[in-house]
Amino acid sequence: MRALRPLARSRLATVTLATLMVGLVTTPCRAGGDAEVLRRAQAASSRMAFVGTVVVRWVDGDGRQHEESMPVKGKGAELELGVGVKQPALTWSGGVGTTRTAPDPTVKYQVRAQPGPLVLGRPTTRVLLDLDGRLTEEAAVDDGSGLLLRRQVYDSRGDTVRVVEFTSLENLRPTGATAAHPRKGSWTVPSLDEVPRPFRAPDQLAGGYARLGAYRRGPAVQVLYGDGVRTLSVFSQLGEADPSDLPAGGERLVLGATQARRWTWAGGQVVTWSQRGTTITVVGDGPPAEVLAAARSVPEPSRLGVLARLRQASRSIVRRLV
Amino acid sequence: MSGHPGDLLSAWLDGELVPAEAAAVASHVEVCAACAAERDEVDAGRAAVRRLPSLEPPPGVLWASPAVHLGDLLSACLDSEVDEDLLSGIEAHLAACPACAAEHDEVAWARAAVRRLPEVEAPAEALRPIWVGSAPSSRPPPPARVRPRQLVAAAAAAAAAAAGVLSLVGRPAPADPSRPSVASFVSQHSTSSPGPDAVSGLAPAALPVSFSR
Repeated sequence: MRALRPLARSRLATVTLATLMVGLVTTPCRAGGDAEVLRRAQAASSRMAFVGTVVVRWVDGDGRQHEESMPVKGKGAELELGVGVKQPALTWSGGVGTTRTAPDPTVKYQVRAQPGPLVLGRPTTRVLLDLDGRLTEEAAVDDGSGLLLRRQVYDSRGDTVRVVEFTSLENLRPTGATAAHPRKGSWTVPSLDEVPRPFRAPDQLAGGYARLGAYRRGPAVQVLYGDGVRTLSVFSQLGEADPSDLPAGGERLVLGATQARRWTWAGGQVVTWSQRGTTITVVGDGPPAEVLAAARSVPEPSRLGVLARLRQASRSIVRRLV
Repeated sequence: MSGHPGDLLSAWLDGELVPAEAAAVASHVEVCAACAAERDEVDAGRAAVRRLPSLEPPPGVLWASPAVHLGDLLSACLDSEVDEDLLSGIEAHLAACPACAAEHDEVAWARAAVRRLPEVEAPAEALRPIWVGSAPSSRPPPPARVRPRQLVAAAAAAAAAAAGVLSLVGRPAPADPSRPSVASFVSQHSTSSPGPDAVSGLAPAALPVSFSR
């Protein structure tokens, strides 16, 4: 396995030592018990107040390693991330809300929970996610708070593609909030019951991604998918992308009968391509092969109806004139 | 959640949102100072644009650009409604732009097709009820004598309209450029994710998006 540089020897030695000290004995699997640790972690950060630092390490498509560290402040349902990094801080208050529940992680993954290493001096449970018999992700969940302290994603060869972990954590305490509720007057992303033609949004994409919701995002439509652990969005918009409008770099690849471009960012993969007068962009936080497989399973947009084609032609003529 | 309407603010000011979306944006702007300020800026920008004088590009500058197309000028050119300078610019563009050259040929073909339409005589009875209905108390005027040229003009207009619609609809619509905002999509995806946990799932979204491979 190609180890990440920052994860190298000293940390690995600490983890190994801690693991040996705690004893790497797999907890007997109760019905749903191992996955329960994961479910607990999914909600814990929205019920806790804390101040800490998180480091993100990832490998891009050229094999280069990157590392960024940022402060994180949690206050119940609100999170503030990234103050002081090279772009404005991100304030998060609960996501978009989904119309369907995410699949049970155990449908796709074999979930194992073990006593984990000490992370920042705190006892953890180590959750291992296997896919087709290979380790694809692991997490360290704080036994006391349920907070996920460390998360590591592997590709299909077993190489690490991303690590996110706390490097400091203070003032950790429960706030009593049970869920993220938008504040009065806060913006709610418009949710769509039906995805407008010519876009198509099947209930399932390859890799066990189930449709969770659809949203209007300006000129684009976002369809959010999840597999119980990871998420993936399909953004569709009318019009074919001009290559000069796409971000620099990236990898050119063939997706079915079309040319596509793929980039790696700190949180995963982006794939974009144009087809039948529309442009589709897939953003996912899974390993590269998984996101690509899901992108390949996105169905072609429907053919535009007569009126839609007339509209598009009219728009095109207007654009030529102005 | 990113917390603000973003692009929808502009769509709202343009009156392009459905009522529910417009109401949501309006109520948000009432309580969000940042969005209210952005609305004022956009409004001021729109007003400034309206005050700009209309400018004509210097002749000849645009003809060589592949981004410029002739549109209605093609028809005006075929109708001999353009002056010499403009005509030479159009000819230069047609020589360099296959799309406009093809469109020029199509329009010329449609005009020729319309000219070849047979002349039709309208039945006089067909027009009599119009006269009767418009002046019930007066004596009906003598049957209107429809000039064949009027009918030909009407038929030509209808045929031209049909040809225009068919040429737009019958072939694939020209590619309407789209500008996928990849960085925004990344941010929107990250902040809409419901799990698996807010911290580790979201932390990468707070980093500058760098699109290396």
